[in-house]
Amino acid sequence: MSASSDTINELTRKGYEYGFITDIEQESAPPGLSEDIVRFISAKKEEPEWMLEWRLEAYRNWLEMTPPDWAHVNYPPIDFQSISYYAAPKNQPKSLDEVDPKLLETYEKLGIPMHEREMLAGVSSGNRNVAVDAVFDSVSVGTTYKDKLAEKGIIFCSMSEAVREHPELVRKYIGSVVPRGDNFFAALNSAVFSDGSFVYIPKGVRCPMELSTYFRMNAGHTGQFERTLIIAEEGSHVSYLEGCTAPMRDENQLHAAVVELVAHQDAEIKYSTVQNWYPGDENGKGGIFNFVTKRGLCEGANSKISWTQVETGSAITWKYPSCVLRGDNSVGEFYSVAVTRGRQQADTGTKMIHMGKNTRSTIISKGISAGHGQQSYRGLVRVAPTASGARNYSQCDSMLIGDQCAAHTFPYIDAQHPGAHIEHEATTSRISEDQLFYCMQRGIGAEEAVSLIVNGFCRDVFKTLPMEFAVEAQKLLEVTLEDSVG
Amino acid sequence: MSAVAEANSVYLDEFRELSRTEPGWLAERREAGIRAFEQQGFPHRRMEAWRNLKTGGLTQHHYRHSIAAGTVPMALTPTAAVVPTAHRLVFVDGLISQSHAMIDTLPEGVSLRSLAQVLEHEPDVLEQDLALHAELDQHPFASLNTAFWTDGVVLDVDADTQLDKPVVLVFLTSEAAEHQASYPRVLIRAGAGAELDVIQVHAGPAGLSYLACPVTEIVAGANSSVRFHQLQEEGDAGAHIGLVHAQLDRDARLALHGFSVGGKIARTDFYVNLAAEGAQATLNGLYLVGDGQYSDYHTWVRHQAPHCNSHQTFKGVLEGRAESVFDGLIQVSKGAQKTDSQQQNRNLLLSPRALAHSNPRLEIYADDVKCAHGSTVGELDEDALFYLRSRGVGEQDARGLLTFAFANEMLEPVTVEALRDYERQRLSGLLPGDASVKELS
Repeated sequence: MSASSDTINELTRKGYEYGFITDIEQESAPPGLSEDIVRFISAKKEEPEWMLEWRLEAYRNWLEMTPPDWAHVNYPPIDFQSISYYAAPKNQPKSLDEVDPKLLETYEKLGIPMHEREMLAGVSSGNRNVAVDAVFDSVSVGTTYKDKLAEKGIIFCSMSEAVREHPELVRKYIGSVVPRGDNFFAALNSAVFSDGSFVYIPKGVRCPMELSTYFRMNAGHTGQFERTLIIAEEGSHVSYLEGCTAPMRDENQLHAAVVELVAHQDAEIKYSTVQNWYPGDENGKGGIFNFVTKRGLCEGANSKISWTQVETGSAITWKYPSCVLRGDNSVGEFYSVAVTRGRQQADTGTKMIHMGKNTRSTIISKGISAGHGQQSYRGLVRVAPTASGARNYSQCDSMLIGDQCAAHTFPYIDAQHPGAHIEHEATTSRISEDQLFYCMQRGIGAEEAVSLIVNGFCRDVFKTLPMEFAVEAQKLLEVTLEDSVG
Repeated sequence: MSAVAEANSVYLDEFRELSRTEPGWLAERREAGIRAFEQQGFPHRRMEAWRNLKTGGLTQHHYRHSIAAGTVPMALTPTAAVVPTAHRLVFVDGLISQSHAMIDTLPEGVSLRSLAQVLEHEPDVLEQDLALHAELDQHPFASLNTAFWTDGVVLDVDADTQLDKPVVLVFLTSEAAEHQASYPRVLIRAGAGAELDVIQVHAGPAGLSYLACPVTEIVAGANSSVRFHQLQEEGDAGAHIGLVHAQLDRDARLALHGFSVGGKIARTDFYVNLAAEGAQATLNGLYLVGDGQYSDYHTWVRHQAPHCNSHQTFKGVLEGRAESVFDGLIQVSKGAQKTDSQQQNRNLLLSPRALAHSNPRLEIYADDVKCAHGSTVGELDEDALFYLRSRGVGEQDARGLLTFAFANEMLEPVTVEALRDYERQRLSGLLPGDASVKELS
């Protein structure tokens, strides 16, 4: 890892690089949440009757629920009536060529390739393409490489389009992994979800390129509620990336997404996230509340779901990408690097529910806490009485930088089968003086030395990321930690 | 069927009925206890620290605090006599039994008295510590104890004094106490540089439904050394829900040892506050949980000052439809730099219906610390079994041997030899296999 210090300095000055606002004509729903708003969103999306019913049912559920309070985070109560649940650029494009140039510019600025040219994203091999679905506030503004994917029978489109074009698939799978009453924020999302990505990989197909969704929150006083659904049929394989940014605003914005993955027999889904929502300023003003429900179901035998996440943004993160290992011999993986600094708070982790025989899961979580950051790993490993031969290995390491931050670990293990082998290890430490001294006497500056050590600490997770993302994640980490090292 | 005790005011009513003549400060603390209970009510699944405990049976009765002592059941006589060479106090149904007490001449500077007696003659010596340390906000049963206790023990060891023999405190429940609750209260104060061993034993007859809620407060002065052993052998239909709180001053050393085999529901919370520099705490526990039993250890180890160490090791062996919980917290406060804290939990499941919960928790607010925890759940090692079998050891014997080896590690650190032998015997009595093989171990 040797990004030059010039780059670092340049990036540091900017603080949060993606904090700009795109000035574009928008239309949005009035703030507040009611059945009418749910109907309004559904009508906007030209949804069939059953979808509306589903949303309304979720809304009614939600009304009876209370926000969860068990997470180790503090935030003022959210006024759900002051949020606008729908915001969209006024000119809805019919095809990629018609997309508002201002929007394309936005995505160019963010480094997201929206043109279908033979461009490479960070690597020199030159032939790796990434198909991108770009979600701007509440709507998807364009999806690239659709035709090329369609040749193989792969469906990659926005959720609204999927509801219109492939209702039978959506109806079958939506809510099957994360039921609409699963938790407070999932219920909210089910009622008002606006867009997101839909992926369907047919039997035996290996997706030829990385699929990627890029979420951008632009409008003020809005929340983003996207819903992603990925279905991998028997023997298929897909790698999916997700990135997110938002402008710098003084208010707290709510992001409550739901992601559902279904892997059938022998299928494999790899889901990577680089989350870089606006974290708020150093005094904790503004920033995104990132309350996300992500869950994957290993439905068939020998299936595999792998979550990788790099969490550097958001004022508050509340997120537990989980795997339900129902198929025999199925595999769940969770790799996470989470960074909290400034006044950021993160309560994140995973759940591995072992139900099938010989199911295996691995959890590697690396938490870095700096400044006044508060970070918790919260995980559950449950072995059902049916899961003979289940194996789990968990490792949760925390690194503390500075004496005002905090790191917590709350792993839960519920084992109900004697054949299960569960191991959990956790350590908490700081960058040792010896390591720093060693680097510095070799002529490496203090900041670079820290970056080197931190990157080494996170290496187990970064090496599971797709190449482009790994490079981005490493840079992101350096920038994020830059001013907290002293 | 609506639960009697769910309308928790039955306990409040019981409290109001009592007429005690006690110093004002104590009345206040008792009042705080019943208020803490009223506020929490009986634990339920939505209380994070109690979410695995099924209180079903407990809420079906109003367990009134016992006011008269019954006779000691024959079956419990050996338990009452554990560790023959000791200063011994025996309580039956929460009240002292003078006929069983056996206190030789105590070394100078040591006083071992019944709590009721001290309260009657010189209550002022208690004001500084009694019911001031144990935390009630997460523990409804300790709250009940604070409100209701009638007797218990006060052990004071002066500065630089060493106890010649261990102190054994036996708390028994008799047949007379069916559907009653006993609330023994113990206060142990070790002066600077003092050294002592305390063994606390809890037992009751089989098949009897009762509730035992002991609370022990330990105040360890600077550079003192306190070794506290708890032996829990309640009857198979009894419930034991207690709390031990230790407050450690500078360079104090505390060794807590728990051995839990009895009870239908058994739970002990160990609170350890490392309140000044250089304090050290070792906690270890072994729970042997049989069919239909529920066993629970919660630990709350708080590092409140720099340069403190703590080590926790808890092991469990589960059989049949057993359920166990280990929930251990290491909390490092802001400024508690150079903390070294370790925590291990190992569970051995011998049956497909056993359920082990393991929740090791870390809460860390300081950066220059070394904290680690580990947790495993598993069955006996097939290779080790095969090895023994290939050497001609029968399957049952081999299982017994391996389980013994797993559990015995927790008994090794017990410094009181007679207690260690007793626990070892209890352990091998519960294991499968031939008696002659057990001789070997």
